[in-house]
Amino acid sequence: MATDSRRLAVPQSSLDPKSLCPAKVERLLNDEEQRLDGRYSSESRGIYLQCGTVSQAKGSCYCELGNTKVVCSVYGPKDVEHYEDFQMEGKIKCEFKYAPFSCSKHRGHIPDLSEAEISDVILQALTASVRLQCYPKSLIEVFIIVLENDGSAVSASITAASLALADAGIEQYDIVTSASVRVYGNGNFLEDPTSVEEYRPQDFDSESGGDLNHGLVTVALLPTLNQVCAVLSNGHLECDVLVETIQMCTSLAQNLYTAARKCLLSSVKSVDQNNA
Amino acid sequence: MRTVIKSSTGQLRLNDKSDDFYKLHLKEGIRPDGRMLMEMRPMVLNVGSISTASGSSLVKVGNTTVVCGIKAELTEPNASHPGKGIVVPNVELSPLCSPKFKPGPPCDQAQVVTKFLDNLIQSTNLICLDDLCVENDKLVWILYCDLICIDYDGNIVDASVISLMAALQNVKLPEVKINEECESVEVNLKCTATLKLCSCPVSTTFRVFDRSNIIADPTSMEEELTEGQLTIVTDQQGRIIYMERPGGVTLQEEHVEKCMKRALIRGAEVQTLYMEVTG
Repeated sequence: MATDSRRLAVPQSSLDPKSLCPAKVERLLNDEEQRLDGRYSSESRGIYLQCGTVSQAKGSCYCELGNTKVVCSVYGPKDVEHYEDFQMEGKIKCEFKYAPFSCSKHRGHIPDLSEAEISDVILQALTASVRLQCYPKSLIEVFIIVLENDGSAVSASITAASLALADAGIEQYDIVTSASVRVYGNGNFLEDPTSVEEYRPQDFDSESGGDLNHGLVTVALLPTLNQVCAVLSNGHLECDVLVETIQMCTSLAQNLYTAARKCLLSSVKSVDQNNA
Repeated sequence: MRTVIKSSTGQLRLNDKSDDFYKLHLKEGIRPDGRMLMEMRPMVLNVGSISTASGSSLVKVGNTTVVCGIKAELTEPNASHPGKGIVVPNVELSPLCSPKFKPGPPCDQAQVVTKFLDNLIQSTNLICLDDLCVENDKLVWILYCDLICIDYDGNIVDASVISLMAALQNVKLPEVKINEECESVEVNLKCTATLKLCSCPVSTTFRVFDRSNIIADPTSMEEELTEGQLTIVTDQQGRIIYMERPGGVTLQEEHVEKCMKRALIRGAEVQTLYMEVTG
């Protein structure tokens, strides 16, 4: 870990005690076709969405997808810092971060490369939806923090970010919803995987000679327009399996639209009641 | 006459003439949000909601929200203290919680609050570090205490202390033994123990307005209008164990006494809250 002069000194490395007694997951589905948490392979976890959780932000959203907890806050539109950056289209900046205690191993405070990659994917998903031409010479900032990662953190973040933008009054073509599906083996799909069920490349070193299809696909969708705005795929998947998985993710993301709408409506109603 | 200007961040800010606005309120003995000068905001405390952390808590003091997550990991001890565990607090004031903070390395305020927590842990002997030792000079526990501010509306110090304490009381450490024969570390996740805490501090922060008015539990707007801060930390036995007065405006002796009395009352209230929540 790089030493940070503005934080207290930490030792170079430390061991997570859980890694010393690994409970190796042999099978993702038991004999009754149930997953480790009791769901079936085509069952998603319940989602909880609430807008307006951060009082200081222009718009914010808190999302809980099972145990995965994400907070997103939006600031803007505000003036760009340097006037050399003046453009007739607005700019969005997105910063995604896992909290140090959100994953099984303690994460550092400085955003690492995987977080930078995810920030980029979320930015792409949001750029497809936000009407940037309405905000010339302006900057919209989106900050996302994952408080607990129990799988599908990226899809929860995309949904939360889009709702936070809506809460901030930023014009969008549509709310962006997102869902993930885990592929393992041929024709085996797990909807909305938990962190144990998510794809990890190191688990498949010895099995690479066997079945090809192992991976995780996340899709971001504009539900009313039925347009996909971002796809993130990890692992090795054959083309037709990838297409099938994307279609599955798309229908899952479509189902999220009702929950997202309900969240926005209830936040507007509560603002209305507070003002009344 | 209050004048409001729009800053570059698009937030509405009160400029210098807002002093008069605040003084008008103080004349009636009240603050803009309706509180009396020594009145605290309502507090909400929740523990154990983050399953990936060994111990966690969420505190809301008014709108100020702090989440504390504690990760317990194993490491080699410092050469200077081979039989003691390590506790590393860290406060994150990211741009997510308020437009006041910029992205990048920790700002001055975050560093100051982190150091305050570190001093508090060491000077009050909060955690018995010898208990965190698994094998002298070979393996000790390290507790990473990360406090993330989700919503910044002033008084981050009090919220941080309360959430750190509640999270520490919630920590469960698995049993760890070193197998001498095969020199491996054995962890028993089913057998867990809570931390033994030697003290249970509560902090109360006051700020000085116009050299003569003391207000307790400032909001973000009040922090900008006031100068000088006084933080008093009390423990479960009603004693004052730590006080921090980081320079600035001078304070009269009777003001300091008034603050101490208020801090003791507040301390007792929060101790009952700890008991209720952590059981």
